[in-house]
Amino acid sequence: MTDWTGGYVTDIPYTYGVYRELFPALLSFATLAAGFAAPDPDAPLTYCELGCGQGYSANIIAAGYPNIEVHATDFNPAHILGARGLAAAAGMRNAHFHDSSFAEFAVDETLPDFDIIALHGVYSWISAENRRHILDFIRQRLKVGGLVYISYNTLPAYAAVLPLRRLLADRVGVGSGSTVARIEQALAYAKRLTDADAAYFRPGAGIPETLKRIQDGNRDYVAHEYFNRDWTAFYHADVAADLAEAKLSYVGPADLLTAVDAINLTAEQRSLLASAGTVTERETLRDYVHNQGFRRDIFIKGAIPLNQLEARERWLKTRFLLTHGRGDVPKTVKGVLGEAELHADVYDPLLDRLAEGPRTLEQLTTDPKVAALGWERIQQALTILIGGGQVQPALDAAGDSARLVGVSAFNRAVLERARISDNWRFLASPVFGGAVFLGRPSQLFLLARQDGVEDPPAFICDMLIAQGAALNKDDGTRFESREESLAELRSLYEIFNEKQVPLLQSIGVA
Amino acid sequence: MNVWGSGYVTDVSYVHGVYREQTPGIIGFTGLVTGIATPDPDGPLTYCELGCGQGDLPNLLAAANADIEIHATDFNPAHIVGARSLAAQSGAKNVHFHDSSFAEFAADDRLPDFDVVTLHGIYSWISAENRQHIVKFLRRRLKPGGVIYISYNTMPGWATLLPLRRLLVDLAGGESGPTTDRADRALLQAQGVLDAEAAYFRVNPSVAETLQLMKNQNRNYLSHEYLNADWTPFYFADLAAELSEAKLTYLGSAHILDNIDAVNLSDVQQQFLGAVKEPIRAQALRDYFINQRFRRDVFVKGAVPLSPAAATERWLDMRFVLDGPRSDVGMTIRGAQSEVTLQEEVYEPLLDALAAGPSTVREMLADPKVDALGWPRLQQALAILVGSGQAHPARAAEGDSLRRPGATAFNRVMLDVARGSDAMPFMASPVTGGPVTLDRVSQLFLLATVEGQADAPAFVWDILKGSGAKLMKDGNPLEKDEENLAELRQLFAAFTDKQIPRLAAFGIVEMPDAKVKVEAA
Repeated sequence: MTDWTGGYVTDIPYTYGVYRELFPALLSFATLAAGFAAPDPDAPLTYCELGCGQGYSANIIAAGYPNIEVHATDFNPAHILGARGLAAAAGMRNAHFHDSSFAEFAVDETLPDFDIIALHGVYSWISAENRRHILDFIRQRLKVGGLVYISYNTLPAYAAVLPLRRLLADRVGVGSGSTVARIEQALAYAKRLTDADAAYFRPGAGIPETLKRIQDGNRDYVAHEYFNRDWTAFYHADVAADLAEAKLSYVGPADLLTAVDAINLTAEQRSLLASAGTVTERETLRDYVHNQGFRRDIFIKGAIPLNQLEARERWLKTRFLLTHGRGDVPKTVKGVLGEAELHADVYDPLLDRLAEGPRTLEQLTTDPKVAALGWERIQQALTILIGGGQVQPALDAAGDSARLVGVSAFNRAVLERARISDNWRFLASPVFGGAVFLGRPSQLFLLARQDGVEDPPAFICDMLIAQGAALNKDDGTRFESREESLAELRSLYEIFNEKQVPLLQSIGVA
Repeated sequence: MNVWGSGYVTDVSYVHGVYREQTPGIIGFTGLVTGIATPDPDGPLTYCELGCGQGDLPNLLAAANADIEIHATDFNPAHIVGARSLAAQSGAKNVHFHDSSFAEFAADDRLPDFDVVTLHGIYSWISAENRQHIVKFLRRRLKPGGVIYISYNTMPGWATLLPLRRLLVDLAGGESGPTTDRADRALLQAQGVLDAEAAYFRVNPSVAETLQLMKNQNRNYLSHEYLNADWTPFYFADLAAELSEAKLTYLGSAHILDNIDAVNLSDVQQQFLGAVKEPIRAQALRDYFINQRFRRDVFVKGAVPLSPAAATERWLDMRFVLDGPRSDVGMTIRGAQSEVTLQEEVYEPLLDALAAGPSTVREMLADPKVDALGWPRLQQALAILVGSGQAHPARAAEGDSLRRPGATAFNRVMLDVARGSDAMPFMASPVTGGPVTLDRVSQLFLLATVEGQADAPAFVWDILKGSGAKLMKDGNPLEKDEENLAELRQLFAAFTDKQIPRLAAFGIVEMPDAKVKVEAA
């Protein structure tokens, strides 16, 4: 292990994941849903991601928000090199990637002050010393009224698993070979302990299940989640106390389904939470009641509750975008209490309007059927649709054309990469500034379409064959002949044209 | 909360209690079982207890071991006042109580160097800074070859319970008032969270059970175990790493059965563990095998293996005493994961030998049936008898008479304490140099005998009635005088029959022939 790592796994690149909670429009909306004011995602802002990994989210934010100067840091230079490469290919000038340690970043005088600082998972994966650097950074660099998004592994849910984590991390330390090899050795060791009927591994506290999940899990993710030297699950109260030193207060969750009590808490649990004397106590009780292993928290420096009129004004001005086919919106939503039905009489009027294109709430309520739902039901329905990922809070329509320029260049750069790799699976949307998932075959179809290629399936088929790559069947085996592959691509192309193109058009990607 | 308490619960006195594992006899026996040299339990020793609470243990040790110079510290002055007063009552001159913080104690130049240092539970209940002071103290004050006994809460056994403890602290922290009241309210509120079907309790059924148990537990104990600001269960490897800064090496467990794998681990687990060469790793692994919650470790400064000759010599000289009548010895003992049945043919000859009174291995070997057992079986059987609490290692017989006056004086104080409460249900044995458990009613029967009371049951009932106590039968309190008296008469018969011979073996009473003569101060 190299010594600039501080014990962090560095020889396995972190996944090219994108997390929607990192995006300014979603953070702003979640803050509004909690009744507080957040930095306006349509205004000129400064944004910072700490521990940005491959920088994919940060690049998409820079592409989707030409009004935002995006800074992102990750101490792994391989990550930063890749991130800069994509930013350069897209010609972006508002994306700034740093390969600083948190200690260096905290004293970097060239940085601006920030409206938004985001860190996903990172807080749980670093040392206490690095956490102090991050707190220093936030204290110094976050503007008054600024927002911090912080997600972390949570107690009490992780308590039972802590000794397993410890055992695996210890074993990786004594193993031999590459990190990947040592991880396999450690997992095999844990399996042997289970087989030897070690009391800690016995059924009841969920340890065998967790071990199985790790064994079956994506190694890139598992390496970072379970095998870093530093790994801490937090009580919310402790994170809140850390951030209180930087003058931040908790306002609400970025994962909006968590905010909907009706699908998560029984009446008795709601009254238990209502009895809490402080916000911290309430969130503590929530964590014992839910026992969820991960929190996605929004904190604000100087949190002022919006009064009803202000909140209403902001809700009305917010534009919403349906990112699913109207028919693909599920009829139920999964909360902690189980599946809850989304009543057609509430959701149909909203979804019918949104199916026509992005609409502000003000526009939606001109429909008498929507207006008749009443304020609370509209708010809850939109919160659930956004939480479930079917609807996105969008940006101001006035900026669509300006955003389209940068987004198009960025998406083109991603599509070019699809020729050679399937790592980059997200495009940017000029309508909501966020990320849109698109698999490699669809990306290649889009590329062919943009280039006016005559027979896209044949073009892609020959490209893959030339690379020695092949399509996989559903069962994981390869299509062997060109004919088989081509037939598969043709059927995929049909689905692409029928279902994906209209959707991509509605969100400004095609 | 008091400023000098640094987050430690100070308005609740710690429960009275003495732990056999803290005696030089058991610590020395741990070394004998694991084959590592420890300070000779029969030589003059300097002994120190860190965080001594009410000071019961150092007082008892001082009384029963005139040749041990004892120092003990607790930063709660109320504890030290009580401890000194007990020392004054029992007349022990070889015990010295300090109300020092660990920082002060580590820097105290008037203290001697120590052969034995013990700390029970404390290490889990103090801040990282105080742990550093303790390590500094051990580095400075523990002699080379010296041993420590250290017990502490352990991972992984505590993992699922950690959040319950945190919830109680958070809930108690929000309330003002005395600590025990806060404990009551915290328990009540935690019950509210449980009643609301919180998922944390649902996925960890054992935690819900623990919460139910806690409601019936002594509030003083709960306050100390759960409501301190600092509270850390340790992975063995982390604890061993901290102590290695004081040059300490793991020696074995003072919970003697822990050293015998056959009692605690399956064959597969023993094989698995047998392949682990590094002792720290082996102990850490063992904790996962039995999901360890509490460890009682002995560490030594400079681990020197006993030579086979020296080990044999010490075993031969080792004296043992049986704890109670021969007929009451249980042939089924509880290991870490299951019950184990002892083989009659191995234990019969040993128990027969011990039933006659304390005897050394050399004396036992005079019986050909004992001799026929062979050395390994003999050693393991004695370790198991000690580990299961049915026998105790004793000090050399030559010193019994020297140790007896101090123990007798201390025991007289215990009997007087029993007049008022059941807070100190133990006595000092000049034979083992350690504690012997004795319930309050038995203590009062003994008091009656010492005072020459003609009708011991009536005498005891007068005292119990006066302190508002009643006897329990089948889980219910006996209400009427006659019922209580009748029960006491039955208990007294059992006392005469079984306790007196037991106490005689421990040197607490003398029993020439059938006539009981109690050692009176």
